[in-house]
Amino acid sequence: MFEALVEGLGLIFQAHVLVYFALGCIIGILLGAVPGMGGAIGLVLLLPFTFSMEPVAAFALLLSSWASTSTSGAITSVLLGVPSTAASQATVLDGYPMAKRGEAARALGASFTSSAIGGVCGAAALGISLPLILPVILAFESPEQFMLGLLGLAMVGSLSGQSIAKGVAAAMFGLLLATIGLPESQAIPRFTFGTLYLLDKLPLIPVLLGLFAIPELMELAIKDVSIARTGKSDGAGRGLLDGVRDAFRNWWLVVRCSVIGAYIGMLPGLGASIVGWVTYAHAKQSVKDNSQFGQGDVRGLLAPEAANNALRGGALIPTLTLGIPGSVGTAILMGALIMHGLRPGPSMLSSELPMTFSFVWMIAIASVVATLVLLKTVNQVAKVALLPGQLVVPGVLLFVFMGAWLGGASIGDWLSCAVFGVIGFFMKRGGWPRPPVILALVLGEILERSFQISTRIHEGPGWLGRPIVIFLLLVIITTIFLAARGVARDKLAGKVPAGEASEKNPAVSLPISLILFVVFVWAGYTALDWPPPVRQFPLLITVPGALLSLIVIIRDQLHLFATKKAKGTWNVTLRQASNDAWLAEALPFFAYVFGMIGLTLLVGQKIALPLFIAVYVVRWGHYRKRIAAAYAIGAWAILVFFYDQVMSLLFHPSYLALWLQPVLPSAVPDWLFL
Amino acid sequence: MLNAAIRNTGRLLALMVSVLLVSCDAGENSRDSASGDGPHSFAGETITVVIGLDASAGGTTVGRLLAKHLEENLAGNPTVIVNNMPGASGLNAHLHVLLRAPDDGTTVYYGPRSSLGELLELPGFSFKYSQFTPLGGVQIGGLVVYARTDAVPGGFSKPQDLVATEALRFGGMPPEHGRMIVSSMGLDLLGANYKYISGYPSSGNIRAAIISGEVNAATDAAHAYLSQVVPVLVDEGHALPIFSMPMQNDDGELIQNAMVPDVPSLPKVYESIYGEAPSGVVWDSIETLLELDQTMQHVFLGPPRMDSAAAETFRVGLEKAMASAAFHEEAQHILSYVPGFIGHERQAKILGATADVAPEVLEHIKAHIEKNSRY
Repeated sequence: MFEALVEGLGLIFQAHVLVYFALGCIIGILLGAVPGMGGAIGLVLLLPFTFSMEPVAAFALLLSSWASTSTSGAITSVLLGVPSTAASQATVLDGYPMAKRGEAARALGASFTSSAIGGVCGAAALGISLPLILPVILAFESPEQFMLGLLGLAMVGSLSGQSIAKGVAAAMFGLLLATIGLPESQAIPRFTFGTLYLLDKLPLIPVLLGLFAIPELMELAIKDVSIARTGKSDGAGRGLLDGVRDAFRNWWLVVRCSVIGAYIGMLPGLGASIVGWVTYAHAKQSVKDNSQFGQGDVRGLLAPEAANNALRGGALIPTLTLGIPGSVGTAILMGALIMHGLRPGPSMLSSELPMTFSFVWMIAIASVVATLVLLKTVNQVAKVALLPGQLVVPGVLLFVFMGAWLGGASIGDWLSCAVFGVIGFFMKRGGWPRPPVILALVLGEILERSFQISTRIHEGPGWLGRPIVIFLLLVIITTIFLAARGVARDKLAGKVPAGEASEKNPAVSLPISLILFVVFVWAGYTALDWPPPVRQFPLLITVPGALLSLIVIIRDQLHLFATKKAKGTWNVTLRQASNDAWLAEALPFFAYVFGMIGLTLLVGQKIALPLFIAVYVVRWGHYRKRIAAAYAIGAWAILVFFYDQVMSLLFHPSYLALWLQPVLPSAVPDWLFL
Repeated sequence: MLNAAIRNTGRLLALMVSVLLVSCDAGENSRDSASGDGPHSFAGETITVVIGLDASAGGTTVGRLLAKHLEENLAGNPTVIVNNMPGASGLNAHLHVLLRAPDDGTTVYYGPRSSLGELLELPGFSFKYSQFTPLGGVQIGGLVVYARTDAVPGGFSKPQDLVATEALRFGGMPPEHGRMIVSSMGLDLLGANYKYISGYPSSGNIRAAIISGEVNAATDAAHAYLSQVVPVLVDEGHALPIFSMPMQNDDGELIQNAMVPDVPSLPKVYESIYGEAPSGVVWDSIETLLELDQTMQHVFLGPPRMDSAAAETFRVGLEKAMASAAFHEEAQHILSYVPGFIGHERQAKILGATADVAPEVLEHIKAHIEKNSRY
């Protein structure tokens, strides 16, 4: 085995392989930093170029780009509060508050270093366990996957902020969202309101970008400040070095999270979307003082960043050895394997073992190379945090909305993004935690599927007696107990919660809980008409969801009455609540966003987005028209030359395009604006 | 080696630049070089192939490969670009071409289609396939149903053993999925006693369940069976094929799937067990499904009022492309199989066949789905 390990490393150190490796790293770094892109899209773009290459060179290009995206994915999470990929969701929670505090360079330094360590540790963990790993993977059938999903959901307790009830109700809302569309059991649409768009389930990326990015951008727009609220950065080299030191100082946490990431990656189906949350919750539960989590605790950043890099190596193992791809990225890689004459299967652990090890090496080295490249650029990149907010907002909105567009090329994705932007804003202002919604949205489908398959196969709940299921059940109970104890302790100690879900505004929270109650009751009532396999999961969600919403309603009401008593009159109380929630400023902002979507329907993205940017910069940002025009032209160039020509995206066929295209003379280059 | 690296790097960069330049050049093109007199040419035009799958799907790779060879074989050598529109399981892409594509043939649909969805009036099927202009179909390959060797007490060594077992757990996607219906009907025909375990979202998940032993029978596309089931399961002695689904030739006759010549077809297995050719409503339903759903997995579709000369030019170009040695060579290398060509007339016949389904067959298909949906 050691020989195969060395031979695998030797395969990489060939001149032409190194060239492709470097190219892949650069492309991966660039793609990872664009919201919505992620590793899979990079693989799709690069795959055709590998057709004529020999296998090691081809995989050097593909794997280095795939691994590098998760390292650079932290850039927008930290600097803008915008998770660029599903894997970097949890990075936002502490990374962005650090940037706000003027510690962008430190945060980036820490996250890149943690990524590198994660990549190496993950690869090492796999290298060590490779000969023993197959029985472990095969032991995880549907019952175990269900329990693992439940364990992920139990992490909600650590992501709930001050109120467990709100956290669990938010998770129930996320689970309910996961039931939208056609279930796997039968072609009966659930909660689609007759729309085609929702038949396919609610897509993760538009919801994620809406829920997290838009409220942060709105805050920037309303407060009219730079991302670094202090207006100062943490100094050129010092912040960066502090970040690197943070990663090494917390080496044990980083190693633990890397190993968790690598092993979660190995289990097909769970993957990138939950690993960040699971390791974040693990970090929060396992450190002595977690009072700063959510406000910019560097450990909340180190954990998910280590894990999402380690995950890549883990995900490769079932793909190579069993031909089971656990994600879109690994499915593409498996296609590439077959294309290059490699047959996924046991031979990858015997005759092709050096090749398998070369792949693991590639991922580990790519994480280190990407980190070194990114560390070189941190001081320049971190300056984004000092730009005036009004200049940052429209440009980032362009990337957010185009990121939402990438997956489905549907105006429904934009509406989802905008609607969840509104929901995210009100949740944030009302002290409702947003991470449980996303975590549950990701896990909902896995939970329903694995529960129903388990029940079908075992013809009842007999699967609950399986040894791993019992073990995972005990872990879940411990996790919930620890989370509940943490919240209770904080309350007893009179600690004022901060970070996510820390805002106290019962006048905003109450309508949310009322709406949630109505939604749960309506959804449960609607589900009663469906056959058992279709209604089972919605009913399991809506009953506790409605009860928890009711509890929150009662609490919110009590808080609201107490506030009213303190303020004197309802008029003063509600005006104060509205001011605290920035409702007056939020409405025009959302009008801009929905106006942009409306305009897109009429004239298409290539006109609507630049126009939106120009109008925003002049009217909201109060910049000169010349600056607005230059900004709009830049945005238009990105749309036309990057998204259209390079990415070959299908843009929305606007009414203008439908009317104009048939009548335009052939000499007119309509692709520039339609 | 270094020379090869430099050559490949150069090619990669040149391709990247050419993507930009060619795309920029596309701006010079128009959509209104309509038919007029004489043979139609797509010279100077850009054809957009809207694929109803996401960019990472295997079908997109087939579509991209076809797009590349269409460029070389369509009259006028137009630029052919591929756009993915996977929303609503590809239905958005169907509707995009049906309702919004220009009539000049510069926007066409490529990807899977579900005549079964139309037949069973599944959610979202607000259109009929006969509304589109048929441009040609693509045969991706038939199906192979296989089982774990430990599915039968005492071991499973030949398809006939199946009848003896009572412990067959067939792992499948939603019971309305065409591939699942026809495969599980095949088991019905053979008299196998199986339980349909629905809920797996993809073939990859089903393979995982087969490997772990959670289920012990499944179906897969023949090319996936060869590349992913054989090395992991069959070669290791963990699984055996039960039967392959026959394919329909251009005359509508059932023939052995050439991709898996050693796997006996369903009628042959039936004959070996029962000593006669299959018949009855189950077999009629299978035959209907083979025609409706399994002969032509992917299609090129034009908008309803597509310019007839442009449509003809496209059909000729597609046939030429799929018959070319360059396409065969590249498909074999990239896909590990060569997709078959279905002419537009046969395509139209298949698309229109939903109207001719016998009532008892339709009833049987619905009852079969109902049976497999039981929880």
